[in-house]
Amino acid sequence: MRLEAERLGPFAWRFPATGDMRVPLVVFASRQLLDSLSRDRSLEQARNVTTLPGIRRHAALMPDAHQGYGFPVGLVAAFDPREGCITPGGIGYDINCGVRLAISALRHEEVEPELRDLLEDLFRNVHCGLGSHSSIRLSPADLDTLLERGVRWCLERGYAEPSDADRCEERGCMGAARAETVSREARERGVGQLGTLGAGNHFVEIQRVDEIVDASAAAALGLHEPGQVALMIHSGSRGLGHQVCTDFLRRIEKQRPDLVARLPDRELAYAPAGSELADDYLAAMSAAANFGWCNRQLILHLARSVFERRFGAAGKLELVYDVAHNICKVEEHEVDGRSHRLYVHRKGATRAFPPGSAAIPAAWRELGQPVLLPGSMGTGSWLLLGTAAGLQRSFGSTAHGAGRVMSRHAALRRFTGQEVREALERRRILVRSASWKGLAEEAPEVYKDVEEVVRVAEGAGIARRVARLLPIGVLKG
Amino acid sequence: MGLVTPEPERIPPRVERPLRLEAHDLEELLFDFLHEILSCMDRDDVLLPHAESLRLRGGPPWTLEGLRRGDRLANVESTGAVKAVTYSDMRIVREPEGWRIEVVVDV
Repeated sequence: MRLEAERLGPFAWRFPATGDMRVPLVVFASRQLLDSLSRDRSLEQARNVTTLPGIRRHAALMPDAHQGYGFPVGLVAAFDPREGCITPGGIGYDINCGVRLAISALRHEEVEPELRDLLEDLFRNVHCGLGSHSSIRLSPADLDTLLERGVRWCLERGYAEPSDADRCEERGCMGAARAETVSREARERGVGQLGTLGAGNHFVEIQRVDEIVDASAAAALGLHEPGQVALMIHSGSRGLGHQVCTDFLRRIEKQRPDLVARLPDRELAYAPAGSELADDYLAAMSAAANFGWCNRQLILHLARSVFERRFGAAGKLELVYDVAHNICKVEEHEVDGRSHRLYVHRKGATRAFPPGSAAIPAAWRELGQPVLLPGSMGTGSWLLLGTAAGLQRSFGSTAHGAGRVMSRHAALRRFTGQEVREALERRRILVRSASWKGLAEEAPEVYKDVEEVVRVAEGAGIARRVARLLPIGVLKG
Repeated sequence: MGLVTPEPERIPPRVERPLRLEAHDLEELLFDFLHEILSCMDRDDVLLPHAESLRLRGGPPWTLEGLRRGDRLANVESTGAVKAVTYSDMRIVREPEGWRIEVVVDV
């Protein structure tokens, strides 16, 4: 399938609506990234999404996009809540997979001599890898409450500080959540996983501030100087979220086989807006999202204990921000000169609201929403801010990370976990992993160049750089 | 299963569970068959890669019965994490030598 693009700018391309496309597709990419998108099915999948009912304005493909299931990873698409739809494939299986960043007053030179022991402490306290189980016992009533109250539940139980909820998207709780829409199987899968990392590309990373691009914004967010030590967490809603997505894909198939039969891809199965199915999915997705925020909150809580036991008050970790990159939100956006409520699906994309947005904590509302882009174990991660231009260009969204360029099988053929660990240690980056083979699959070379992704995002006006952080210690499942 | 553990054939059959699935088409049956492996990992801490004494009855509905075997997760060397089974690019093709099955999983 060949799509012809018009160039909108140095980092933006527009594929006009043709055939059964209801809206155009806008791609944020350099020529290099566009070439890589053309080598997998990202463009074809994005084009398929533009055929869904009630889609508005345009679909936006991010610079780190790659082929996914139904929706490509890295796509933003917004649908009318009366004539459109909500689609689990547009959020992904790992509902509210996301990233959070916390900053300390420690300096790299204080931490480095104790880094190996610190990583071991983290590994003992933050359970990771296949079959990892929580150190926190949840009753069924606890789980129900957590699913509906999100991070506020953590605060009530002493697992959060008062400012933590404010520094999460949605303040760590989507109000549409209804615990009764989460199946027994989803609960059984998730109840023992709160505060665990999982495996795959999830991580806890000890970082140091490397480069500060916007000193004023960085200082407002707590990043004062290069060498300052931070902690980044990448995890999601674990088995509970995965099951919610599966449950609703199956329910849509059973209740609306007519609709699924017409789709170019079964994974695009959707619930028509306004239907009980759509309402239930939104409620269950919101509950799973709340679980995801609580999961990252608990991981931070455990990490805080480790840091403070070792470094005292200097080791206190202050949450900077927490972003979701697999989620659907009900948001107001301008379409054809008028404001509309829309179901904004972000799959492998991050909300990046502009300065002045009421959704941003008051303390830095004038800056814009913080955005976190993790790279790979061997490269930097970025703290950025949302922009006004992004609101129109991408529904206030930007990239979510580096994106893979090599499959896991190819990575296992090319690297061993031992080689990856040794190569990183030569660069003074320590790694503690639950699985050597899992480590090989996450070799830095399997990811796109995050610098290029950030350069394009900023060049396209859908985020702006604040600071780069480099890994010094990595905990992986 | 190679995405969960590098050598599934070496997992001893120390744990067993009955297998009984019903679905309206083969794709759904395959989906459920693989999905149940993931569920057992999260719920029961067991990895059951082996399926024996399988009896497939044509439909709709299609039914599959048999026995799953495997071991406790604590005894298994793991690699990456499979988050979910997907229908993406799923193909089930009958060939002279048997069945060709292609599945994409979310990792």
